[in-house]
Amino acid sequence: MLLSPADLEALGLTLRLAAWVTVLLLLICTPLAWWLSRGSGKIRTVMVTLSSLPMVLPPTVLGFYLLLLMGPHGPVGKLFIFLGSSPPTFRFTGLVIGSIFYSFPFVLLPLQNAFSAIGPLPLEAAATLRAGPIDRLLTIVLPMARPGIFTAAVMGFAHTLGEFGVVLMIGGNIQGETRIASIAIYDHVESLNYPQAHTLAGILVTIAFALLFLVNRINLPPSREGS
Amino acid sequence: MSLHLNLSLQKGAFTLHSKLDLPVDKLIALSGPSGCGKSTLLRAIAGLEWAECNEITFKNERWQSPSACRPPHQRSVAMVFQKPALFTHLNVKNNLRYAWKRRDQSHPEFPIQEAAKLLGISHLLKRSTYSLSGGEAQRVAIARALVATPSLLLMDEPLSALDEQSKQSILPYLERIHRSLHLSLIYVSHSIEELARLADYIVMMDQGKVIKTGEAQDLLSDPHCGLGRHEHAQSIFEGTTQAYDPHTETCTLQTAMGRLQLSTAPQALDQKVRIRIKACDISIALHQVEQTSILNLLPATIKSITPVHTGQCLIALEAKQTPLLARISSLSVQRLHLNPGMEVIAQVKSAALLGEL
Repeated sequence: MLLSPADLEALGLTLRLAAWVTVLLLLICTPLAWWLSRGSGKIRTVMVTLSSLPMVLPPTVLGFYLLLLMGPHGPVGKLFIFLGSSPPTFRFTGLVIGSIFYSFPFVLLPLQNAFSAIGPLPLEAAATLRAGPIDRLLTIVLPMARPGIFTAAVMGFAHTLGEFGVVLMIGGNIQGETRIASIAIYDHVESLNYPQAHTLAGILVTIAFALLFLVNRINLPPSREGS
Repeated sequence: MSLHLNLSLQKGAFTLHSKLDLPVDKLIALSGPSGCGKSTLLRAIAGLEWAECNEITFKNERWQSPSACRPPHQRSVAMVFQKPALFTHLNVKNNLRYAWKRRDQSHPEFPIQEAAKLLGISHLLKRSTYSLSGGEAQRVAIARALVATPSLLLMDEPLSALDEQSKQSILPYLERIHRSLHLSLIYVSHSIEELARLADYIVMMDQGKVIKTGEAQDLLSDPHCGLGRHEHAQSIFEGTTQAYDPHTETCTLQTAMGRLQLSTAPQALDQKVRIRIKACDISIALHQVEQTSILNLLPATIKSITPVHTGQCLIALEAKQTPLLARISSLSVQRLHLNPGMEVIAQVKSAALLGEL
């Protein structure tokens, strides 16, 4: 077995982190994306721009600000201390918070596109067919946006797997707590331990390929055959 | 049985003002140029457009008052839009079932299979909505609205996005719906042909205001309103299929004006049908002509002569209380010395009598 227990732990931590972040991001971004897709205006443009920033900023910049924010002297850190906990930096909690920012646009934008693509017409048609707001959400919006929701989940998960800079800035490299696969690979390369780096890297490539393949498969244009 | 409206809606620079009492036991058509507010009016009736202090009362049921507004899903309406607005995640049958599950149960059920048959889409039920042509999709949308068994069916230019062939394929279905189902229907269109084929009562709008309302038969042949002045203006009247001669392939129709000959095979005898005549297909003679190919010679009185700018005149005629509109050249008016009050013969070729028998 090429995977050492430590590597296995790093891999498990990575998957756990990605899963947490995906779930939380779907919960945060779905209502936000719905609101963004229902209109236009300055506030909405500012929101979209802000949430797209992580796509273009160096992760170190993002990580730097998050470190200040979540450190013992930052407002978030102070809040954690006030609530009887320790600041989230250098802990798994911090990683989750950081990754939420880092992967935010990758979940928000597919959701927003999916909701926008539905357009007002099917919803108006449903309303005149006596479907109330909750009914419309469950029977029209969510099913019609399903490919977009799936894409958002996979992109959020896959992108979190590839996180490196932000984690290094706010989480350091603590085994079992903040050492995720990407950091473990960096460590192996640093210590010229190429076979182990290969194994971990290969696993990440495989997972990423499988996920993206799935997304592209799902998002094929609908066939013109019967359902 | 009426729909009472008192609406005032502001949409950007556009304002809609209308106060109307519509006889909803008739098929009502809203007509007018693009952007005149017909769609907005229809959407307000459905509850998709909303403004304070509007009033909508449908058959003694208050849908909107200054103090309260029922959202669309609590009004017994179904709407067919310009585009089919099908639910793309459901197949054709499930689109219909969606409406069926939420139907207004105070009306008799309209089964999915029957609606599909009426609109000619039975063979499409298992298909995905992506595989439908524009005309097929719109027929599914109409069937879906029927299955919902609404008290009021609203149709917002349902044929405008379709090509001529699809239009012609759907119009007979719409005529059938109106004839065989007893539901209130408001239809938005600016096509003379659709109005002539479907409307019983017409509301004409312009720039957000109602400019004229009245029976379709009167408005369509009124030379002073936009419908009569239209180059494709048509008069309409009712008749009953009486006899059919298979040798000459001619149908005899009993109308208020007398018997008319039509070169179309009727589906059944003793059937009430609506007949249309284009204004340019009626010619005028001063006396009964003996030897002519024209089969229908109707004694009529000239009510008015209105010149239109193309060297032609619109002649409003009345034949046994049936208003007819003829468009003839100004030259003929001069040569025949036509004047209001004159008794003339309106000549109509049997091939010019249009209708779904």
